Amino acid sequence: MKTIWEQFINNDENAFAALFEETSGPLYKYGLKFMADEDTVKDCIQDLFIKLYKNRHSLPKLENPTFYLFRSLKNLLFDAILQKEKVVYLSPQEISFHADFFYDNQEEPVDDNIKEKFEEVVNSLSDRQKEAIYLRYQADMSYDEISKLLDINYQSARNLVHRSIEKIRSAIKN
Amino acid sequence: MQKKQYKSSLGELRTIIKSIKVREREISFETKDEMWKNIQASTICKTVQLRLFLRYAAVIALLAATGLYLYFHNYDNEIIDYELFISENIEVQKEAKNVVVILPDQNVIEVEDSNVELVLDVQGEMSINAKTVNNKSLSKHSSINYSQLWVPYGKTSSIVMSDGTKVWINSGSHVVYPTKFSEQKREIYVEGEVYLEVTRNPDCPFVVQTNKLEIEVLGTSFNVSAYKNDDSQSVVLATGSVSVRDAKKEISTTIKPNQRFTFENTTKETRIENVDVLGSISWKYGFLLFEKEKLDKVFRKIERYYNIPLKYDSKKMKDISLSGKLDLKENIEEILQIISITVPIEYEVRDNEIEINIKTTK
Repeated sequence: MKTIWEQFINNDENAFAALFEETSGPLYKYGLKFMADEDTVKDCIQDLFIKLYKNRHSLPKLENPTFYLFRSLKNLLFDAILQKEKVVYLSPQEISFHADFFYDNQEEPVDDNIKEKFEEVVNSLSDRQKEAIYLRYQADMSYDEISKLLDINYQSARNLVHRSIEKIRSAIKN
Repeated sequence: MQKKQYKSSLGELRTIIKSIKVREREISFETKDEMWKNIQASTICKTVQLRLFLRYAAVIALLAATGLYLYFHNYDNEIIDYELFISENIEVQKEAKNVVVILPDQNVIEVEDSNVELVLDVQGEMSINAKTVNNKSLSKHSSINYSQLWVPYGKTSSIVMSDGTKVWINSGSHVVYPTKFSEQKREIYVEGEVYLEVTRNPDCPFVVQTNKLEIEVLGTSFNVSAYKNDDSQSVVLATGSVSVRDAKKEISTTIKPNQRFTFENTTKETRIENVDVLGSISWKYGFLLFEKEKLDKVFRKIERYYNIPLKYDSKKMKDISLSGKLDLKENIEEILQIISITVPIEYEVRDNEIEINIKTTK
């Protein structure tokens, strides 16, 4: 069985549609974390797929296309933000990341006090820490993929996630 | 003891990780659909240059299939003689009382409904009033297949092109269009009146040809009126920007929203003026809107829409102007009744025509 990605790079039009169907939702959500302007995010996702289509014959075989698309989208958004805001960012790692985190558990009710403490500590995290948590626990990325998306090494990616979780844990406990 | 503590802390971490949630804005079906249409519009029109021999192969295949004459320019752009296209099928059209679609293999489809909606998908498949028409065998032979639509007087139609562009076609109009756009340009030919909402694609301009003008756009909405029995042709822009050229490319100009470009057929004079867009495109919504319009022009529009000949002296009618809105859902007599209240005319209904005269004051 060929993956959707393999079928796509082998010129299958249906696989292109399936790829869009499968990944446009996660890409849209991830994109909105970097900028609130929905239209720009939509434009960048469109551009991304148009570029994919045009370059499909020279694309590599990929295990996880979602990761590849996340990374491409982040770069396109970075370019769009540079053009739009006329602000000088040194790298994509400086763009802010807005995720609306909250604390809830289906199995056992969570005390309001803990919810508040959680929101407080999450707000104190850096943008990259938030992004790392988002990628790890919301988008199911591996540490290796996170490290590439954040342009840091593998160990730093692990530390970033672990330290953030540890910070949340100790804040909730007190 | 140490180990146990470690375990419980792991469980605790697991609970925390499971409890971290994010409020996400889900992508709506409409957003997804809109994005996909835009992606398709940009991927249909290949920006990769086709090698010359391929293009000629396509053109020759077309030539062989339909027996058409094609004129070649020195450039790599071939010019298609659309007028010849239409004249070849003039007999079919003369007889037709209904909307007629002529497929590239010369098969003729006649549709009896008074409003006909055509949809072409990316693969070049066609549906008419939501019913799929099998024309798949056509696209195998060449990349460009031209179809024709003839909308007689008394009928209206619309086409959604393979790139998502929507074209509304007024009564008494011909449109020649490729079943599927390809190569570097999206082009259609129009005789009569159309209103277009063009899907934006900066890599692939959309061109509307008439027998006198060439209108080029990237993505915009505008009205083209190019009836052969009118003295002039005009383009009215609703949104975006378009450039207009004459066939010999002697005149080239760009117009802005709410402007009308007019080309006089005989004198070749051109002018640009500010207009109310709604007046030019009101036919698309089933009414006619006039602002100080000369009566002969008003009657010509009514004739086209109802397909009933009106007999009048256009020289005399030119002196009278009419402003107001006419609902095309009314029958023609009601329309004329309404007009006769505002302006001094009287009409007489005969078997095949209606005679209109200026009321003589006694």
